[in-house]
Amino acid sequence: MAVPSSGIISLVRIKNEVSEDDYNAGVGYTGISLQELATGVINTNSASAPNSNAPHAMSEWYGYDQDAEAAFSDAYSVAKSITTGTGQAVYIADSDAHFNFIHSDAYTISFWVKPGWSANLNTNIHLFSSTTAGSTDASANMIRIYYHEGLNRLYYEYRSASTAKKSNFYLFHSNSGNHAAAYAAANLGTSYWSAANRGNVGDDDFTMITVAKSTTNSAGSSYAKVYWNGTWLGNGHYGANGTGQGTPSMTSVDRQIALGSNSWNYTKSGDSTETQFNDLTIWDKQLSATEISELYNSGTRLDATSHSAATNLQMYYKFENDGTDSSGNEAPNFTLSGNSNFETL
Amino acid sequence: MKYYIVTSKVFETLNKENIDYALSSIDNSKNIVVTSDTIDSALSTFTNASGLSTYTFNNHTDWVGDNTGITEEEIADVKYISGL
Repeated sequence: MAVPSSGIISLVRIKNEVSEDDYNAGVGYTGISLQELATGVINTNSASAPNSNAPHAMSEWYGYDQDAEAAFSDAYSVAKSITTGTGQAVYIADSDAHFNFIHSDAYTISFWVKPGWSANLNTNIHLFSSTTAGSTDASANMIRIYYHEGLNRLYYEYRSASTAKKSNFYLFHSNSGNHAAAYAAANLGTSYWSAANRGNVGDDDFTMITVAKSTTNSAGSSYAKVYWNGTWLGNGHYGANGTGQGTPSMTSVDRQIALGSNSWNYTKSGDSTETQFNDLTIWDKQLSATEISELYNSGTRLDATSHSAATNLQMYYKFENDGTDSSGNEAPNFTLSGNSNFETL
Repeated sequence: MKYYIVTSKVFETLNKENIDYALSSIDNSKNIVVTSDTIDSALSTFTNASGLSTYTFNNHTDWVGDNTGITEEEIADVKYISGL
């Protein structure tokens, strides 16, 4: 709780706000002074903060908030090098259970992507991929979202083995049947998705891709819904129940997560120019269509900590010139290697 | 399954119902095909997915734009669907 913005305030309680991040923490302090507090470490993100110039006044502390976050800014994105390998990756390796979803978990993964690949890619580019931390096995608790340029399909898949997997895909160039919703949502026309044909986009030519999965062990559209910006892509090719082989049985172990490549050998990163990513959010529930529309915010990225479902925000990467987590859960930082870098929008 | 590279003309004559995986080359002159049928007029024949995958990595400029190749995992997972 911040310092009250009016009325009588206490010097000891100001010290509690500064040292305990809680004006009402009730910790006893002696020998404190306004000068000591005002010339100490102040959170400049707070909309209201004292200056360090004498004379010092209690009123300068009205509204001070020790843990105020910086105002939301959206000036940078991550540009994933088209060169492959660990030395060019954009990735994290979780070590404390921030990301260990299994087949029976509900979760939502959302990110913004600006294609850099060309119409000659003719293979897949992995947009989001996670597998068991430290493993080079593609089937080790894999969750991935990838686009096959040669076929114009967006895939969502998870698996626990090469013979235990669930998936569905969304096709963008057919305005009929199960594909009509994706055709309309992406608005790519009959050409495939690429840097030359980005379809419906939000700010700065980015598209928000979201997968919102329920607790059911299925990638079918009744259980795992995929969105282009705020618009549901419909049933997808394999419909309500999806497709697959066997019954995935994932284990709740830490994962490594890669953006712009797969997570087991860090290949499949596109061609031509770097693909850019922005604002990755991971939630520990299946967001509703309304909540995803709120996150899309008519195409303008918002501060996800202000989202109505923010209590379910598990990991949040703004990529504002750093790879730190902004969810408040102290999730591991993204590492950018090689030619992958933060770029101004 | 059997693993081939065929010309695009031969590909048009194949029974699409029996194709499990297919991909056109970047210049659309030939196709990779994984099918249960036997093709006598193939440009290349491979004994398994590994052999086919290795070929595409060694000849990637014909097949993919990212200097890699077609992985075995893609051959297994990305199903051919006639008309799509």
